[in-house]
Amino acid sequence: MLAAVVLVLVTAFTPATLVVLLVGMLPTLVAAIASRTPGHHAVVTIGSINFIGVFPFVLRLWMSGNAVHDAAAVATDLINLVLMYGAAALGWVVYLAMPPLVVALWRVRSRSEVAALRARQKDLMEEWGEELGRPPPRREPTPAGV
Amino acid sequence: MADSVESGTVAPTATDAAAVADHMTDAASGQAPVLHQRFEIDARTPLPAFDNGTSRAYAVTDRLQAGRALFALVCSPVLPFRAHVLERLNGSLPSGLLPLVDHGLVSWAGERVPVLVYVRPEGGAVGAVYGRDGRSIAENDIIRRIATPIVRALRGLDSSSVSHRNIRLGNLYFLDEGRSELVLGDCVAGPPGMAQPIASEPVERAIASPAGRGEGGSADDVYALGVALVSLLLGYDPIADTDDDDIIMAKLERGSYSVLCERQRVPLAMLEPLRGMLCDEPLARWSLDELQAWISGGRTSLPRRTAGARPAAPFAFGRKEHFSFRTLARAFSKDVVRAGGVIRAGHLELWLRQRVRDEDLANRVADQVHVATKAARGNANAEQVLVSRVAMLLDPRAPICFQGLNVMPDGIGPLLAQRWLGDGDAQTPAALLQSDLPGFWLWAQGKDGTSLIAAHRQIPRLHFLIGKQTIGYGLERCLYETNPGIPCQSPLVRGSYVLTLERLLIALDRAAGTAGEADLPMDRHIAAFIASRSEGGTEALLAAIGDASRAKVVLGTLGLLAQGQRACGGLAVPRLSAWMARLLPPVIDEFHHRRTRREVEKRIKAVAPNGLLTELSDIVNDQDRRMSDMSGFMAASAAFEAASTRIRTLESDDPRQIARIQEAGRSAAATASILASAVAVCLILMSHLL
Repeated sequence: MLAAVVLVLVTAFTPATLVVLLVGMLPTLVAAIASRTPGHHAVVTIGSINFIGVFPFVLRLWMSGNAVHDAAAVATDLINLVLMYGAAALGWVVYLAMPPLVVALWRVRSRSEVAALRARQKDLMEEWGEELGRPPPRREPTPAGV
Repeated sequence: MADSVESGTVAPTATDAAAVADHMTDAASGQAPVLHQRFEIDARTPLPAFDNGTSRAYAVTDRLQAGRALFALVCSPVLPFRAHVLERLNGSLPSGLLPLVDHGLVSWAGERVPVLVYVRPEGGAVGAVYGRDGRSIAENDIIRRIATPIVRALRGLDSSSVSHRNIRLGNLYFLDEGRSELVLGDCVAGPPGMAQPIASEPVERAIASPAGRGEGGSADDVYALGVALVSLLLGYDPIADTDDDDIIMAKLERGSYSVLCERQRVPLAMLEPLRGMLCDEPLARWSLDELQAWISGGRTSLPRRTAGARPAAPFAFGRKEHFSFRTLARAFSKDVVRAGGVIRAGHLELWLRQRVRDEDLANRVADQVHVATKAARGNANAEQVLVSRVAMLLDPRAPICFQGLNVMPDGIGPLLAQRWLGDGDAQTPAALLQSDLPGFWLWAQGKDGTSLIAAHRQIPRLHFLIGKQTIGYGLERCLYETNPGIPCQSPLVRGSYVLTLERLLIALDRAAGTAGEADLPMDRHIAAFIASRSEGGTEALLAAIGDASRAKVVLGTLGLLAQGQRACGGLAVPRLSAWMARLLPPVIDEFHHRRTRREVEKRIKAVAPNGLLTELSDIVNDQDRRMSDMSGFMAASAAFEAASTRIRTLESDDPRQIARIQEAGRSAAATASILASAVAVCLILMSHLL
């Protein structure tokens, strides 16, 4: 396992692999440079999905001998580029769509909770009267012996 | 009297008792007023020989014993009678007094008034036979026929802490036709001493307004006996033709003994006892024991003479030169404006220092001038108070003089009642109490005042009560505290002559039929009446009645009436109970828990017909239930408020909240992307390797 990891790392930092990665992950690099959010969620989201688009070509390169001219052929093929950048675009879509989606889900859940709370308040008012919803009156203690 | 009336007629419920009272009234409205369905009072046959002051005497027919010689004294409706005397004597008078056959209330000229039925004395009044037209009684007979029975009767009264205060020739009777048995006449029908002539009263009480002469004590009875004996011994009244004011001034200047006995042919053997009885110093006057010793032939002693220091020069005031502090005090009281000027100018102080050489008294007068000067701003009565106080310093035993009123401290009650019931102007007595002149009078007595236990208890209390103007206090409370024999003056029960808590409940029970929906069975008079006739513990209830909240007012009213009901043994008052039940909704509404409200309403409906206000009070005042309701309401309020806060938060669309959720969405996108990437890489690897 360790040997496989060492092999992958050595292979990954070969010029051929770096060429494919640099060209294929170019949208992620741009996002990383442009991102100013503290969590770098955009970079992570775009990068992860971008990598899914790049990894098959890197793997094919490794399987074919990891030569620089093969790498150049992969990096200049238009279809390949469309696939790799399309994955990056999908990452953008995921990054942009997720927050509104979560807000919408939260609102649905809130409405349900508000309905339950109102029902509880109605029960309390039926039991204790409408003065529950009013500011508490100032009450003197009942006189002793009354 | 009231106790006796009630004890004779009150059945287990107020309705029954009211029926008895109604019967009495009906009988009265028919022909002759009838007391206890037995004694018919013949209003067409007045017996003026037996009148006592403002109480009028009428012939009486006993339905059960025809031919019995009786007469009825009908008390004045505008004066209090001495209910406490009958109470202390348990409704029957000791021997030596005119036998009291019965007493109670009857309807008289459209009003309910107290009536006392006495045995009619066959021998008539002593004053009608002796002590006039030269008809005297020899000194030996005086002791046997007059002094002995009177002293015996007075000792009987004194053993119950009661004074007679009506000893005069016109109120001493021979019970039998042979005129051998002497009895004292009525002493209950009116305020103490009010019917007495000026001459028969000790000088300080003679100065006081008739209704304000005060309860006094046996010393005052001894004095009156002495005056009566002088007339009987002489066969005439030695000061009959003297003006009242002159009698007072003469007594102040020369002393009562001198005024009545000097230059009169009083038997030598009677000089010592008369000197003892007519001594103007109440503490030095013969006591009943010394009188008894004289009657029994034992050793007696003359009262010690306390000659006051005679000033080197008189004090000129009001076209008269005064050598006596007492006459000067009297003159000051009669001319307040001039007296105020003289006192403020320092003439009196100077006279006291230089002529009388009484530095202590001069300093006290100077102190009062200083106090009056400081208090003068905004106090319309400052001048009157100054003169009254200085008069009290000069003559501590004299009555309090204030705006034309002269009143002994123990006579404030009857005087207040006379003013209130009579002309309706009680403002002067009220101002007198507010000025705390009675307190000053007590202070002015010095060490002689230590024996005035009742005054030490009552005077500060009255000052406190008059100073508090809320319901249950004020002048009404003073009126009832000082007059056990005054009926409750509330318009709700005025026609019923209510003297006791029991009668009050009965009267309110009857008034329930005509009460409006929102009317309360409570007003200032009823509150003060109950508070004064209760054992105590009414402060919180009175405070509740004076509250702005309707619920508290109703609660306090119910509590006070329930306390009254408890005090009179739980007399059932169904109509009053139903009345109170109708007023309770605001109190029930104070419970928050709806089910508890329904339970309380149900229990009130069940209990109200029983007529027990105490039970109603217990239901609405169940402290455990109230505490439980309150704690439950607090918890429910907290839960309600928490829910409201949460709802506000959820519905607010707070941009910060939305931003937090959006950030969470981005984080979720990043996490999901990493996971998706890892899964995709694994799948791609596996598809190439397998």
